[in-house]
Amino acid sequence: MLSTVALLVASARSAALLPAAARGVVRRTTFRQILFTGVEAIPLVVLIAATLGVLVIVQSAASLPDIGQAEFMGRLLVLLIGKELGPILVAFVVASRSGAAIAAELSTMKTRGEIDGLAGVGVDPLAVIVFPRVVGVAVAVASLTVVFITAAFVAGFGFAAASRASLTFAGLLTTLFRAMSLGDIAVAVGKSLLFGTAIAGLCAERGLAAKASSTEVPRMTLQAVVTALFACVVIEIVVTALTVDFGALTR
Amino acid sequence: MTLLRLEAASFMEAGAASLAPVSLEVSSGEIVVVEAPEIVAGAVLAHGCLGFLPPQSGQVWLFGERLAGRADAQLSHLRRRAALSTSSLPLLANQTVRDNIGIPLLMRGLPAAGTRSLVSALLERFGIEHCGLKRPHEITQREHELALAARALAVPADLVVLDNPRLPPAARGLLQDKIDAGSAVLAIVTHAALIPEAVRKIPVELA
Repeated sequence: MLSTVALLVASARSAALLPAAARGVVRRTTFRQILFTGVEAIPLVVLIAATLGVLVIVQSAASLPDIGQAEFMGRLLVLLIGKELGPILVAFVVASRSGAAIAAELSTMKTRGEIDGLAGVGVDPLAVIVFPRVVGVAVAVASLTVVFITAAFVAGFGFAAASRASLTFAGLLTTLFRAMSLGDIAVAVGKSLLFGTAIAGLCAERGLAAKASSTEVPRMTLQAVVTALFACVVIEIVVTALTVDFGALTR
Repeated sequence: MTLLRLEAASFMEAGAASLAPVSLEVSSGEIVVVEAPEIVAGAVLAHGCLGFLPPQSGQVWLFGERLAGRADAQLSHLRRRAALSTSSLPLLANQTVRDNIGIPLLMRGLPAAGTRSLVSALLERFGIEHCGLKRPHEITQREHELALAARALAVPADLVVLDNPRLPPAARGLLQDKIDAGSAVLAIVTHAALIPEAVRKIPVELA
């Protein structure tokens, strides 16, 4: 983990020192990464989000009395999906998809000698290869989290309004905005950015650690994805521990 | 001024070759030719000169700094003053030939418009203008070698290391331009008979 932090710091420093003419290269790579990690993952993320949104509503509606359901469903969706499940499920999708791709690509480049070839003409690989991928993945994960939460709410509330005469979509939306605070949004987005940074940083670090053999590519890719998933769980636990009011649990 | 100095430095790269100790010095404004016994040996020596391979014995000094025991991050400021062309370290597979040659120039602050015209002129000089928008897997090995050489000779480096250079006649003047500007060129070849007598040659042997 420490080597990943060192890599992230070194990449940011290298990118900050780039001349203005070079920033176009970094921007193009960042944009391509956002396209691959974010835009191309939207269908999968929306499918998972809609399914989860409906399932939460189905399970909670089956167990709740009619009175006060709308308020409770809104708060449940905000807490469960907006703050907790949404960001980490998006992180899992991105780690398996883009994290694996980054680790495989960088380890292939390393074993083929492309990274050293770039260094051999005076180009810092961290600035050109690592930094834009980290920024791209972090932005994509945060954006996908917003997409996930929106899709889950729309699907969940839509299902609830369609299945219960006492509930309306507009009414559920109102309870949602009442249940959601700026703090909730900040936690969700902040966690997503942390997830994205950790995923890209860990997978890039594993990819660059590959030695000169083709068997290193699958080995490093697997290590990268497993480590990234583990890191996301650790981040989730730490952020939850820092943001949850544990006093309320014992009241 | 001595830009590169090897003092009884031997190198071994697993799966490649093992070189006997070699001593050489490359100073500003000169071309030094090393005659390697085989192509793979030349690549191993090229890697060692820029610190991609630590010496098994002896020492390597690049721009007056000893390379032994240094990580890549600590060598980047030295490599920024050098340029290496060797088929063992290929072009980036996910970039076009044009971008592969242009990225090192952009990284050194050359404006995009200037980079574009310089790269176009280089591609023409090396006879690979038709490869500009192709990716490395879409060109021949010979075209790949020429693109690597073009990339190394494009950057404003104090020391250019060319492994097995087979430059077209139109591009050979670039070597003289480098010398005239005070840079140095280390060319690693396997057929020294092709090099004029006046050029200093150093033989390298396998261990």
